[in-house]
This record gives sequence, C-alpha cells and structure tokens, in this order.
Amino acid sequence: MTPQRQFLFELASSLRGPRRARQRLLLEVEQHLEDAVRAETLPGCDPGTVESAAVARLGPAETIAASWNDGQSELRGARRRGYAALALLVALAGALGLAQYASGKARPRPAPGCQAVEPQAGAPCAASPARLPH
Amino acid sequence: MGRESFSGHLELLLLAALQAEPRHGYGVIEHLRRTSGGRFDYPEGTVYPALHRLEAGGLLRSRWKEVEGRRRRVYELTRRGETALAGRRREWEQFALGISAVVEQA
Repeated sequence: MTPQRQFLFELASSLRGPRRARQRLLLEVEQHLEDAVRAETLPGCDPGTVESAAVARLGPAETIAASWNDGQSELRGARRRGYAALALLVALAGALGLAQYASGKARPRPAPGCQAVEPQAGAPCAASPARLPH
Repeated sequence: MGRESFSGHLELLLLAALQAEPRHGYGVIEHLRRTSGGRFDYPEGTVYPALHRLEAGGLLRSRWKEVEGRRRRVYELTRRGETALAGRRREWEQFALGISAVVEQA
C-alpha cells in the first residue's frame, strides 16, 4: 500500500458524520495529494519520496479526523437546537390557536365593505314569532 | 508561527485567502505558503475540515469545477463571508496594535 493509500485508509476509518460529507472530504484530500505530487516532483526526483513528504505535511490522520469530528458535533448540536426551537414555535402557535378558538375569538372576519353586527343582550330577535305583527 | 497560534487564526486566514479569488484546497494552502513566506508550521490537512466548517456556517460556498483538466472542489466567499472577514480583520488589527504597543514599550 502506498503512503497515500495508507493515509486515506486511516483517515476514512476515523471520520464520523454523514457518509456523503465524509466522502467529499476524502476526495478533496486525495486530490490535494495528487496536486502536491504533480507540482513538487522535479525532474530526477523520486515521486514516492515527494508523496511521502506531501503526506507528512498533511499531519497525522487522527489530527484531521479530530478537527472534522469536532465540526460535525457542533453541526449536530446546532441542528438539534434549530429543531427544538422550531418544535417550540409550532407548539406555541398551536396552543395560541387553540386558546383563541376556545375563548370564542376565532370567528370568520367580515368580508371587505361589510360590517360585523354584534348581537346585544335582551335585544328583540327579528325572527322571534312573539314579536311578529299579527 | 507555532501550531497553536496558527490554528487560532486559521479561519481568518482562509477567508482572507479566498477574498481575491475562488480557490480549491491545495490552491488555498499554496497561497498561504507563498504569501506567508513559509512561516506557518501547521498540519495542512486541517485546512479541509475548516473549509467545510466555514461552508456549513454560510461564510463560504463550494462547487465542483474543472481546473487544469481535473475536477476540483472550489471555494469562494459568500456575502456573509465578506462581512465576517471585514469584522475579523478589524478585530485582528486592534489585537495586533495592542500587542505591539505593549511589547514595544517593554
């Protein structure tokens, strides 16, 4: 196994988080090593030595993984806080709507140009047979 | 600059490195090496998780792009990233001024 393959294998086995995000990170690190070997291999130079030097400059796989895993933990925490805030908002809106409905305030609004007429206590009802002229 | 000092300023350096133009990870690292004159001693691989973190925070965006015939993940600053960079740059300047004032007086 080449130093590059060995390094990528170690890194892959230490990363946590969503598979797609991990694959993207691994691909970027792999491309970084390819770029480094292309750019730094001078004529007469052994590409294997250049590859080992590029891998060494990346730092230990566990250091990169620790930095990545910390970031993933922060992201998970932020997502959880976001979901909790959203759930609280939905619950509050539901409770408010229920309270409005229960107190009888949840009535349909009158159409534009119409005026809502509030029934008054004791007022004669036009439809009441007792008040109809005989 | 030692590793601890560097990691404390990594995000500012990455935002600054991407201000002039979009770059892929190796391009960012090369830019840091060239402009600093190789003064930073740090594990280069830690740049990648930091780039992902900045992107998750909305300060960078990235996309796959063909660069010199090869597919590369290229990063660029967002509007929010530009604002963050301006703020962090001001903080850094104040910090550096304060340190210089104290150190030079001693």
